[in-house]
Parts: sequence; C-alpha cells; structure tokens
Amino acid sequence: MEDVGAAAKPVGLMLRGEQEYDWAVALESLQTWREVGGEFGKHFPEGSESGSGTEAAPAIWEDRDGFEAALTDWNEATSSAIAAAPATLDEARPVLGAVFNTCKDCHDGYRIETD
Amino acid sequence: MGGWSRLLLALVVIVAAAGWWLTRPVTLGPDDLPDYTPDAIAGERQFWAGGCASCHASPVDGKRARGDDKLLLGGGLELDTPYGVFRVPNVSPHPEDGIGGWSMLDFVNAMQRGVAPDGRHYYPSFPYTSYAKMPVRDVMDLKAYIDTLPAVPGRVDEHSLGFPWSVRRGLGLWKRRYLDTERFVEVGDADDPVARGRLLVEGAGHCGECHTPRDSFGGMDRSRWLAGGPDPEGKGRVPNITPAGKNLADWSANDIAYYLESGFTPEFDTVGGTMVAVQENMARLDKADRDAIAAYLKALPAVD
Repeated sequence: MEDVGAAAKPVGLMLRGEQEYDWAVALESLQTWREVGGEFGKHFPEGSESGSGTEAAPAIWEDRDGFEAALTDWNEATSSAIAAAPATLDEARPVLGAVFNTCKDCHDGYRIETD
Repeated sequence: MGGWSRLLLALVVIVAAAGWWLTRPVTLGPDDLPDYTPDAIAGERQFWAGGCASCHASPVDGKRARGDDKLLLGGGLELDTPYGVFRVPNVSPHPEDGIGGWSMLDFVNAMQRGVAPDGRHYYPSFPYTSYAKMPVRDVMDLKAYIDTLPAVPGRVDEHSLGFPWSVRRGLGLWKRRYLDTERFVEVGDADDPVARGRLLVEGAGHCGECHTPRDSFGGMDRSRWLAGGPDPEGKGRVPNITPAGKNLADWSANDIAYYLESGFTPEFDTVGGTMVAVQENMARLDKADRDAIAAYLKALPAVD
C-alpha cells in the first residue's frame, strides 16, 4: 500500500505544476497502480477488521460490495489513463485527475483518519 | 403542617425555582438585530463555510449527499454517539416541516443561542457554540441564502437519548458553562488574513467541534484548542491541526490551502473520512478564504 501512495507524488507534482510533465513518469505510477490495484481487496480479508493502528474503516467489511465497486472505479480510471497516453499536461489533467478522484472517493467512506 | 415541613417545602420550592431559572433559555430580542438587509449571495459563502449540508442534506441511498443533492436540507442523518442517537432535523425552507415559517430572530436565536422558536434548548450536536462567534449579519445572510433553496417535505423523528441527556432543560446549565456568546470584533481587522481565518475557523467553520478534544461534560477543552483527540463518532483520531500536529508541522500555509481546495496533502495522499465532506465545502470558498484559514492555523500556538 505504501507503493500506491508513493506513486501519487510525482503525478501530483505535475498536476500542481511543480514538476515538468513527463508521460513516462506518469506511466510508471499508473503501472504501479494497475499492478497493485487488481489485488488490493486481498489486503482486507475477513477477520482483519481490528488490526492495530489500522486506517481501514469498518465499512470495508460492512459494505463489501461498495468497497469493491470503489476499487473497480480506481482500476478502470487507471486503465483509461494508460490507454489515453496523454502527451501534454492539458490533456493529462482530466484523465489523471479522474484517477486521483477515485483515491479520494474510496478514502471518503472506507478509511478512517488517525493522528 | 408543622414548622419543619413548611420550611422543607419552602426549600424545595426555592431549589426548584433556582434550577428553573438557571436552566432557562436565554435569547436575543428584536432590538439585538441590526438594521440590515441580508444578502443571499454572501450567505452562500456562510453556507459552505458552515458545513450546513454535511449534516442537514438528506442522505441518498444511505450515503451522504453529493453535488446538488447537498442543497436539499431535509435532514434525516443519524449521529450515533455515546449519549444516544441524534437525528438531524429538516432545515429546508419548507413552511411546516422545515424552517420556512421562522422569523429572522428565530433563526439567529437557533444559530447563536441554541434555542428553538418554541423556547426549547438545542443539543450541542448542533454546533451553536461555534456559530455564536459569527457576526450576526453573516447569520442573517445565511438565512437569506437558505430561503432560496428548495423546500423539502417530511419531518425527522426526535433524538433517542439516554437519561439524563434526555432532559433537554438541563442543557441550560451546560450552556452557562460552555456557550460563550462574546463575538469577535466585526470590523477593522477584516483584511488581516489571520483575523479573517479566525472568524472562519472559530465561527462558521466550527473546526474546533471535532479538532478540539472535549472534557468530561462534553464541552471543548480550550486549553487544547485544535490539538486533536479521539474521534467522537467512534474509531480513529481527529488530527492535531496546531503547528505541533504530526501532519501539519511540515506543511506550509500554501500546502494547507491546497489541501482544502483539492483534498491532497503535500505527499499527495488524499483527505479521508468525515473530512472529505468538509474539504468539499472548503473547495467552494474563495481562495482568499482558504488562504486565511491556512494563515490562522499557522499562527496558532503549538499544542503537543
């Protein structure tokens, strides 16, 4: 899961205009997400609800279908971005932004905040 | 009746009367409202800053409202707390089921004194202890804006609270201790970003309601202002957002403002949990407002 978060930084810096847009760099992050994304649900098996220091919200297990649907949205957005292969930052903004929004949508209901 | 019984009866009456007096609702009168024509457009800013929709927008299919559904203030969200279940009421402009029949004074007393038009106390799950800090004109603007929203039919059931919390009148005592109605200076320093941020954070934004820990009577512990604490809604912790907070210590004011706008941290992790709805509200404010909130947070005393 740390890889997933780390891959966001270079993409985020490009979207924020603080790093020059480079499709190869973005693609590397997207490929990390595609690799990890398909298996992501397996990190949250039945019975792991109360792991110490977990940020996983009980909703992952109480609303498994919703959680899986959120993961599917993420995987689809990732695949669409890879397929689009945007050449410029202006073309990249909507597709990469869509991927980022799926991160947020899932953290909305399925992650709790810790200090 | 003997002398002692009479004395005892007199004592009971005095104590009961004192209790009744101490718990009475304290409200503003018509003379407390300024001669001011409220501005619905300015009120929209207060609506998003105040996070009204996060509680009062009716849930859609069991999930929080999104997009334009946030403007349908029919209530119905349930807050499951250690005191019992609070049910969020309809505050749409519906004349019977919502607040369409309220006068401006009714609205101001609800927002700033926690008192309903019929004189009952509101529970502080409705964050009037923060809204009490707003300039009264901002509250009037807010009503003007809410009056433009769709009327939603349907009344929400009463709260289901355990004893003694179910005794509403007792809130009068709680308010004596925790409802500080002293307002900020309304003019003069409004151009100073820290002052502007202070109004937004301590007033409409009611950030302290979650980010400040509560004492054993459920009031905010002001010695630990915005220093975080256990999540009142259950699992997890609410982060410390003073400059000593683990998260914010390394963030610049720009990072904070960008987070409130976009939902992304400097590491491009995303906002999560109940803060997502708050961040979406903050994204609807002007950039100058988000910058002001950031300036205020950076200016806070660091509390470990």
